[in-house]
Amino acid sequence: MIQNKLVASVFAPLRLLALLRWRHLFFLLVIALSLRLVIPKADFDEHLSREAAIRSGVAFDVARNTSMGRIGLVSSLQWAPLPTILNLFVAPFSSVGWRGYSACIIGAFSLAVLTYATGEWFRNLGFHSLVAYAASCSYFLVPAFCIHARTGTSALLFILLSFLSITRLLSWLRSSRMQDLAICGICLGLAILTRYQSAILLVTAICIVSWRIRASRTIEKYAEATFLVFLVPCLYGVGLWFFGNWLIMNNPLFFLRGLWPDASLGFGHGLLTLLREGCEWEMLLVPAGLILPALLVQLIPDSGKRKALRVASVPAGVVLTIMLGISRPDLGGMPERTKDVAGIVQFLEKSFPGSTFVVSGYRGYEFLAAKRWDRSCNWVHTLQLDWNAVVEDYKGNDIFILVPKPKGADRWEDIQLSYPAIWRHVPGFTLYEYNWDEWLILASIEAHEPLLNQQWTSR
Amino acid sequence: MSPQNIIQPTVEQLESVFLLHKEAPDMTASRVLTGSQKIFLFLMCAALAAGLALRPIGTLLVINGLFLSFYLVLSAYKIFLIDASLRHDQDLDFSEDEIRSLKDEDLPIYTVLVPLYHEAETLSRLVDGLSRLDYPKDKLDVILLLEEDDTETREAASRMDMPDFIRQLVVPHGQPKTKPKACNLGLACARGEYLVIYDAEDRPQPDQLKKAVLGFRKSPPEVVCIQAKLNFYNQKFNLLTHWFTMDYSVWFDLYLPALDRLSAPIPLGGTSNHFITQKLRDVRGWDPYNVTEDADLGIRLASNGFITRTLNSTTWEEACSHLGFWIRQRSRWTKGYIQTYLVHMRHWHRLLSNVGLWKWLSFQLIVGGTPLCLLINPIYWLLTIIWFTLRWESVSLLFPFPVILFGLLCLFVGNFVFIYSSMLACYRRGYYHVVRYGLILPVYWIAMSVGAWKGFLQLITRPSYWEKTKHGFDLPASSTESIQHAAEGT
Repeated sequence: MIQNKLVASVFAPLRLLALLRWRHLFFLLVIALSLRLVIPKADFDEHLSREAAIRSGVAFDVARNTSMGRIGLVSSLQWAPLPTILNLFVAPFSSVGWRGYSACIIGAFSLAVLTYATGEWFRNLGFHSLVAYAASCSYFLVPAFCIHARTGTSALLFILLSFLSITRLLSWLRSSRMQDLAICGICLGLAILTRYQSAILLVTAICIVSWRIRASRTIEKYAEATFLVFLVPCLYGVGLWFFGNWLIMNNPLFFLRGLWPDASLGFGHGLLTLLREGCEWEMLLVPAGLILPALLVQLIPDSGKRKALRVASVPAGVVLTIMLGISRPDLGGMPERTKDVAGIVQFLEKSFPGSTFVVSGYRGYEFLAAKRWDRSCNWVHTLQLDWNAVVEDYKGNDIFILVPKPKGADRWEDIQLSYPAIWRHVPGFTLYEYNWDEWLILASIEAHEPLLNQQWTSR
Repeated sequence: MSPQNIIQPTVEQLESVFLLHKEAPDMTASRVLTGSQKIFLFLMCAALAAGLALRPIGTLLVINGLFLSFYLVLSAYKIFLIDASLRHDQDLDFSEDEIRSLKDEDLPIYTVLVPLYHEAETLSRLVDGLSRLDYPKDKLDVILLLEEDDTETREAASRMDMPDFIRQLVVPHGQPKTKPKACNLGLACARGEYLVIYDAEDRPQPDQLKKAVLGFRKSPPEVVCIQAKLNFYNQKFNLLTHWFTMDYSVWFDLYLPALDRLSAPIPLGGTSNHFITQKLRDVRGWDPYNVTEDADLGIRLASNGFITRTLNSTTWEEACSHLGFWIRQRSRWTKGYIQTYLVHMRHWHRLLSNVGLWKWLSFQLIVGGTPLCLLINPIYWLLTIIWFTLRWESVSLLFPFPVILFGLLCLFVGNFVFIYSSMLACYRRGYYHVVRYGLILPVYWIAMSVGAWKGFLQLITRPSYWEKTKHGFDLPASSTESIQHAAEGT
């Protein structure tokens, strides 16, 4: 009997299979589908977003424990840290990291969880499972959403966390269950660490929670305790981010440097731009078309009419969404791509074989995702460009430096780099400049001067 | 007190106190380590010393990796338990109607053991509390366990006008002087079909005994023990009692019900353990040498194929509000958990065979892992402080990727989960005024580690020494009503 117990316990996990329901299989199927969606057919996928390339690259460097990685983590342009941290779990273990696809895998998982969570939410509202999952599938597996898994942006993670926090808040309003409020707080905290703009959701949620608990003021410390349960995860997440910035850059607000989209804009205009361009608000608002009818039907007293409305509300929402998804495949705005980069890589490697190409800053990670590793060309990436060090290290080589075009005189997206400064540190070289869309290619060569045609400008 | 209410134990009953030690000495903590355990420990130390001498960094890396893996697994398991508890109500619970449906004549005799030592001042409140139990008094068999050398409590008891359902039993003086030794004598003299232990300062919810009866009746025969929840009536007394309340709320409201759901071995909490008396006798009662005899008994019951359930009924206790006494109490708990772990690992394959692999792993994490965690915490706090303040590169050597990733996960996610779950446990109980103290809970963890190290060192010097917790600081003249109000936070 004892032996049987031991043997039975070893095989106990197999019994979990018996607990599998078809909705779990559905979840696994959606994961498989979305992963299939992001696996590239070629070496370099032109759909890959700049964000994906940079986040994967930073994660790859953090995993290699380089100071470049650590600095990159706390100041990755306008982006909040959570997606990069999640990339850490995928990026180091295969070539997906430096090719940028770890971000796509995160996106695919987010899409799958989002689809499953929506289905579950509908099911808990009382809809038949088949209707619930069919609705969530038709809703999220439209091009407008799928494209974000392919591009690898953090939009899907942001939508997932926002969706979870909003639905949990709605559940808490109906049930007053502590767990709902806690999960809402946790998801909001994580959402802020995914997109800073989610702070707007937090402010809204605080107002709703305050309104909800106003009736319970008589209970000693109830309001305080409720706010703590709700806010502590958010404050902890933000506090950790400040702490990380202080630890690595000696400035708790260092991340703000990359947050402002354009230095030339005034505060009000800049804030509006930040809110409008930094977040896929339309994508987040669209679920309202699906969720609100379902919620409203719940408010109607139980009757035959309610049942009929309930049955009708979801298909109506689905049709609406699909139409929207098909008519607006660029819903939420298309992310910035890295496709120009592939062209530059091809051009340079073909024109100047054997040269050294230096890419710097966050946007330099785009080249790491795009370049072909089997070529003999020497690509070097550094987060902070030190011209003298580059010249010293690659003495005798033809050196090409690639930098993104500046947004203003002192407004480079690379940290600690200003446009005029770069020209001050080129002793003994003739510099040539070449414009390629958003990029400047600076050639510090003389030997190949005849190769440079009229498109190169001498400085 | 009439003479018939003073129990005169027979020789047989007196001998039964050490029955477990006599029949299975290896299953008691009379020896800290057996011969084979000593050899194993020696070999481990030798391997460690050799490793440190030959490859110091490599050895430290391996140790660090093992500790961090342990932290990660323990944190993941506790998160799993918390999640399971929050999702489902696990405890045995019964409605008012079900309790009312019990007829007095159908109820069995219930023995209540109350060990007392230097607690004369709590006697009147104790009797008051016991009288309020919603159980027919003619079916109640309360036994006050008094120590022979505690003349103060004995005299106070003899001066009092005790109700008839209370009997006194004097435990003969002798070593070890522990609570389980007294309880074993009480068990030998018990008349009840069921038996429960309460401490002198305990205030169980009045219907707890009836709920336990229902619990036993509605459970399968393997269920021989039911653990009620413990919490404190003096939560608001000071900072320490607020933290202690959080600690108990997490343990009894989140962890134990989840262990119950998994049917994993449950280390019983100090009091309010209800037993089927005969089954308790079958497993030879408590280990008189173990200073957390309750935890040991819980594991022994599981290893004998029995099941422990948790009951949704609270016993209010007095939280130790004095830091010195609190550390002593905590040191005893850590020492006892280590004793329990060592005892049950002597025949680890027996426990493994009896409970199965997963429950055995749960025992490793809950009973073995809890004191280990408290003991190694200060080392990691120190390393963290050194790294953050001095940026000492040698510390970085011990944390290559992905070790650092797991370390940071434990530091930032694991610690947050423990703080937050403590706050949630208090919120769920309606202790809204306690929730805010979760924000500074790490300070309490420091005190826990101090207690753990004291207990660990005492295991070497005085293994069976019982650190008595002093009670009665807070509510010297409180009535039962005021205790009830305090417990409910009103």
